[in-house]
Amino acid sequence: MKKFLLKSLALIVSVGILFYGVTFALILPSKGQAFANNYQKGFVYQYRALERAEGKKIITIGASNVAFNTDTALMREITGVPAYNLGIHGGMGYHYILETALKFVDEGDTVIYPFWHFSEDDYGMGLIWLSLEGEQDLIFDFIKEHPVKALSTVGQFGLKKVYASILGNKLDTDSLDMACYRASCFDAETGNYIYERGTPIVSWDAMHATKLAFSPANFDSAFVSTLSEFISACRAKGAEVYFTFHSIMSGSLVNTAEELAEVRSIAEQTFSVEFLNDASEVTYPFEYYYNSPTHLNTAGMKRYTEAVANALVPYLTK
Amino acid sequence: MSFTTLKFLIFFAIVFWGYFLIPKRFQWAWLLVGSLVFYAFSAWWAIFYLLGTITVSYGCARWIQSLSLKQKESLVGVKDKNEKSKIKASFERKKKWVVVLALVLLVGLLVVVKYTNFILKNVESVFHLDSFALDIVMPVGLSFYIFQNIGYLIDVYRGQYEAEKNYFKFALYISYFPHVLQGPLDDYEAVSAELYGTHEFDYARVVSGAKRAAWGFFKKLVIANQISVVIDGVIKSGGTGHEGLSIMLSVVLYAFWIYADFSGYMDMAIGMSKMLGIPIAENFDSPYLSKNIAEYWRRWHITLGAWFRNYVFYSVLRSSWCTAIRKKFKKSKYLASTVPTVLALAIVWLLIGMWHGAAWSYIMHGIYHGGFIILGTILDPVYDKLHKKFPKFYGSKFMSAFRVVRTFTIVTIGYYFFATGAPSLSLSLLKGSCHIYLAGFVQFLSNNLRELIIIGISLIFLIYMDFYNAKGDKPPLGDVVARQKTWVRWTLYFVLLFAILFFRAYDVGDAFAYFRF
Repeated sequence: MKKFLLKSLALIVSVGILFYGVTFALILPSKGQAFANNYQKGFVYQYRALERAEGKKIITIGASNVAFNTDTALMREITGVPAYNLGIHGGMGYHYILETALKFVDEGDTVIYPFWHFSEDDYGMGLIWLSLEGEQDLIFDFIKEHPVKALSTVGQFGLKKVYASILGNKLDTDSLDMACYRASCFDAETGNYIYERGTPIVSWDAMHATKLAFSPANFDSAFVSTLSEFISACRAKGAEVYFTFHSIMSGSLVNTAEELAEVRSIAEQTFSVEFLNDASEVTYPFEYYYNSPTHLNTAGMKRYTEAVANALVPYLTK
Repeated sequence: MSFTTLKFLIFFAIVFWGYFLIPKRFQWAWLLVGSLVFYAFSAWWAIFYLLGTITVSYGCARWIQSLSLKQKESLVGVKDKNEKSKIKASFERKKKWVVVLALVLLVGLLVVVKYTNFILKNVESVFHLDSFALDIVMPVGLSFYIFQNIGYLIDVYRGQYEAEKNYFKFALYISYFPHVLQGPLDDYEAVSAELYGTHEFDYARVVSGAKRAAWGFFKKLVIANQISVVIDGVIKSGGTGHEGLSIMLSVVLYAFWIYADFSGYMDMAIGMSKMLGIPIAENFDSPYLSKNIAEYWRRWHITLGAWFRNYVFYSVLRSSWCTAIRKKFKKSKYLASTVPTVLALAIVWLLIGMWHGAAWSYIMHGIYHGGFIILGTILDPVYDKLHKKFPKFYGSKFMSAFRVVRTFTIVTIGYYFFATGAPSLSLSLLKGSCHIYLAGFVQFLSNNLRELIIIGISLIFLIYMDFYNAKGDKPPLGDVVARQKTWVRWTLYFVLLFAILFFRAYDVGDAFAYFRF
């Protein structure tokens, strides 16, 4: 028994050392990044901008609709308060976005959550690792906070990098082949999404094939408790949280106005959070969208940001 | 608790080391506790289903056993033949009723839990009613352990062995963690002695079991999960948005996915059980190298096939109506043997289809495979004649290879029904396969290049292993490895473990394909 125990331990430890040695040798160096121009880097830009932020600020959090819809520069111009985004991809996981955002919430801050029609309640480790390449402090922080999750998933990054190194920059955008999914689409200083988007690049039919639905059934216990905890933590720090709707493309919503009002009312009562806008104020026709019914083009982004920022102003001056 | 989670590895380490450290007489009890904990991890409430079925089978088997004893006692001193047969018939009737009662309870539970919503759904669609589906959650492994309970009961009823006296030992037989979730459907007689026996730590046996389990991990985490990344989107959408060649490749890969997933699980279960000193049944024997569909089903999910053969096929053949059919066709030897066989096969294959899931696509899959087997049975005399007339041609390597490819093609086409779980999606998959657009296929290959490279390389190992095992005239590969020099063995172990860690696919979940059945 002893022989087996010692030999198997020796094997496991040596394989583990090699595996983690190789993986961390691939992910840690800041030089020679394989995914330096990956869309996921946008998240790091947003993170670093928040790290540098001083004083009262506005943080809009969520999924890709945050990056595509909220212009932080315009938000700042209208409200007079420095504005930041934290959200580039719903697949990064709802928990991850909320816990990351909470690190930067301080007294006097305003947090805007464009109420997402469903909850993605975990950690999208593939996307998280992709964004963290070469960001040593963020990698070590993440390992410290989530050791099991981090160490059991970091291997997938190693393989991606080996593949990218052997077969060229194939995975630069990790299957998101459109030009709008690049790190260079973001302002590296502010994390604001600045890629110039004109007329829709996806057909009307394709865009309408994706239906959006808000449902009371989405208020499951996991979603409610996670978001409630986040809101309470923000308030405990002296920050205020507001909801708004993410932009909705006309004709893409399956709900009636009454159903939507019901969802809004449930959200307001469940979380004791006010909505800055009604859904009708952020519902725009097809020509304001770019590549999906929640991703606005540049003109749409301006309209949406103005709607949210103007609605926010009275609350800021209270 | 899936075998591929860290939680399970910790659980197994505790069970394994505890098993050899505690006094030997408590080993089986330790396994029972471990098995119940393991099962409760899937969902705590599911343990009541497991214990309920165990209690029913145990009670009914003991009842049958006591009736058999009473029958023996009643026959002592009785010399009149008529009296003897009367007593026998009376007890046999009682025993039959006990079996029927147990079957009604066990099969009834399976039908209610697994098929209620399927039946309701069909009633709704036939009578155009509003949905009244019920919120029923099926406990994981229910089909497997109910079948194992039924097999045990029928064997006791048939007098093949005596009913187990100790409730807890019987509970271990059903709930034993390597087989409770998705088999193999172990025969009580074959496994009980080792399951309840005491075991010393045997270094060679433990290493051999660990190697087998590691190979299973490779099959699941690397081969099956990487394939899953490539094909999930295609299969689940019924091929929508994909062109024909991509769909065809996905279905072929599905064949390897389900094989690597299911046989990988078996390798882990068999390997871990071997480490504990308890050999459990093999469930696969290089099935994709079969030369016809009947052979394929003797080599794929072996214990399920054996279960249906022992408890359904032979039961139907022995039934009074099959005897009546035989009598009716007594003038034709061919019809007298073929018609009942075809009837029994039709029932078996309909049930096998239904067993896999409460959906028409699974039933169609069962009928599809059954159809080929029935056709083979009907045409058997023709094949015999041809084989006798052209022995060289039919015995040639070319013909063997052709038959293997033909069988694999038939099996793969069958997956069009099986993979989607819905006839409409299967139809869409079939239709989509006809629209070939080369540029789309190249794009599909390019999008999945990384996974396809890993899949391609690892499938070479899988297929090589199958060819090696199928030859049957060579020692098991594990034994060959065990005879190598230390550095060769250690390098192989090292490479295998590293490959599992480095080439495994993430974000595809821990569940195995057969959990849902």
